[in-house]
Amino acid sequence: MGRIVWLASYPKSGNTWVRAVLTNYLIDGAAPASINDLVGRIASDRRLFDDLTGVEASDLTAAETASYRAEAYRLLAQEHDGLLYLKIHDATASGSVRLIPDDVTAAAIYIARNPLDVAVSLASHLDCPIDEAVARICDGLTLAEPRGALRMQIEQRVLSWGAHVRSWLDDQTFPVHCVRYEDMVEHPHDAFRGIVEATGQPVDEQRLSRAIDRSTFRSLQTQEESSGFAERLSARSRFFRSGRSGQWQEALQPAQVRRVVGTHSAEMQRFGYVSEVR
Amino acid sequence: MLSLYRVFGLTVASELTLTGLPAGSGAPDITVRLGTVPSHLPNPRGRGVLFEALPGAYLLRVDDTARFLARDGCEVTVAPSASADPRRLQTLLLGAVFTALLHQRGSLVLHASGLAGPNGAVLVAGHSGAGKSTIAAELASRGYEVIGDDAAVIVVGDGDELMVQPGLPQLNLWKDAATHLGLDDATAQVALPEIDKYIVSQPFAFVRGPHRLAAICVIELGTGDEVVSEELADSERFSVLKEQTRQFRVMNALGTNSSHFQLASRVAAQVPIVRIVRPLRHEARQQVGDIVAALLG
Amino acid sequence: MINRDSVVVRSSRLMSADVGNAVVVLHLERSAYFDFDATGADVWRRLEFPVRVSALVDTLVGKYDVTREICQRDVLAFLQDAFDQDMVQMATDESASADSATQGR
Repeated sequence: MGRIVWLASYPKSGNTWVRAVLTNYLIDGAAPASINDLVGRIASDRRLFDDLTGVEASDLTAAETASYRAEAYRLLAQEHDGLLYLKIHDATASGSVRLIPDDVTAAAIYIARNPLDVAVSLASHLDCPIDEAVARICDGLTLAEPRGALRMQIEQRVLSWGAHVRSWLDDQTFPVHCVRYEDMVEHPHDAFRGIVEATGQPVDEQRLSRAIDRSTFRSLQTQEESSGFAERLSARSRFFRSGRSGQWQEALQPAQVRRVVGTHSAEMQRFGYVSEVR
Repeated sequence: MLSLYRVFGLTVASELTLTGLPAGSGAPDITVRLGTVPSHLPNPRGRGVLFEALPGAYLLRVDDTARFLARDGCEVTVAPSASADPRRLQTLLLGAVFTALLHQRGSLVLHASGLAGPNGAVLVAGHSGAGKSTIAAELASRGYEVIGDDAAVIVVGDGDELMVQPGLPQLNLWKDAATHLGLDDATAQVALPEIDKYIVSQPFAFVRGPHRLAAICVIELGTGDEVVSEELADSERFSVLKEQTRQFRVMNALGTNSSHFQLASRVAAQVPIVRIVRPLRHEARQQVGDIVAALLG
Repeated sequence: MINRDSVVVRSSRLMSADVGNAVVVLHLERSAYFDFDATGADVWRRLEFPVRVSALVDTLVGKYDVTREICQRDVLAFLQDAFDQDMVQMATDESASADSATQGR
């Protein structure tokens, strides 16, 4: 009987990087783990849902699909041995329907990134203008919305950046370990050590160092070039752009910055992002 | 009051009125009756969110629509709820429930659309969203007969040949694909409320009987810009068919693994299987259609 | 423990099928699927009837460019693993020490 560790984040916040480090830590093999074989299958994977439910999501309404997801993850956990990692961008609930089965959840790792940088990265990922990315982060984001065609993933209500933070951090029955993308960049060993500890595993420092080295941006980017990366939405935009933090300062207009900070100042303060804006 | 229909090579006697199926005759292979259905099976061997199953019995419960009990590959009991949408009842019956029945009967049921041409039947398999229905519509527009959409049933025929049975004579198209074909609300029937899917039968031709299985294509999404196709290596063929089996968990719970294995391994050994990788963003109807058309003859 | 004098055969609770050069296997009780290709498939085919491990090694050494030591080590490891997964069982029939050549496989 397994238990789930949710790898939760707003899109473009370093989730895949965390998955890479965790995978390399768990396997600790001779070579870096392949980018397409990372732990943490995305919870909104259509096939996962269809298999576990017994009726295809494409024959169900969005509301029905949402209502079955928690039970699907519960079944998955029950058939698994040990910790089951699932990546997720959804907020914890879709409307009033909770997506997370608390009884089989061990913990959540919440990966946060400055929403100003998220906006820049999201615009590239969705192939849209920055203004649109800013609007979605402030008004609410939905991924894989079926607009005329079936998408490979199930629709995900991600909400606004701040609402997403609140949905994962407030009033959970399971431990939520928060880590900032910026700390992963500046102090990787400390940041990733905290993540491994939060999964309940003892930390072997050298093993952790090896795992971090095998998951550097350069190595992830190189893998993406040679083997492609199955989750990418658009063939034209590369998934791993630059990985730097603070790129918003060059890419965003003052009005865009004001809008993001104005909408999310409380949550940005929780993560210490506000003092960086002058 | 039982009406007779014909689908998947079976004669179906049903108390539920079914639309869009050709009439059947003779002794029924499957009987569908209204009645009471329990909420659970005793000691299911396997289950999913909406189903439970054990050898000889499959139970599907979809709140607000119905409970279905399928037994021994030949009997279905349906307990509809008061507010059940008849289109939804039919979709679930001919979809999930019949897939379970067909597993019980020892057929190989794949997640695939099928077309018939001079060379025989070519199946277009793939996971939801890969574009099976779109490609089926493309080939149907080129004049090939449609065997079915989304579910392909393979059996061993009287002459010991691998045959594909006729499926539901309809294509399930999403709005973009329907629009591309020049269809609209007048010509295409909405599949279900709140879902942007259409059931289309005009102006396409549908097969009336089984066709010899000639080839299988599997559509996958790739990160490149080109359409790439290649025959599968021997070591991949069975596992791809296993992956493309409809409701594999259900089959497992029904305990029909041995008949599934026998048929799937035979198909893997005898039938060409081609992987077609298309770009993420672009359905490449023309190019993918050309590859499938070449196999159809 | 399987050793070179053991007589082994596929478990009776399996279904096995050739797919070109590969072999696919279903363990009926466990509903577990396995596949072998190339050398693995060749070895698997030779386990259809009871065979003494030493005789199996003899045949493989004759067919492949490998030393007896390495071949025996690899075959024993393969068979032990297969035995632990209930894919292969010890045959009680001692007289079935026929070398693979007479099985025509």
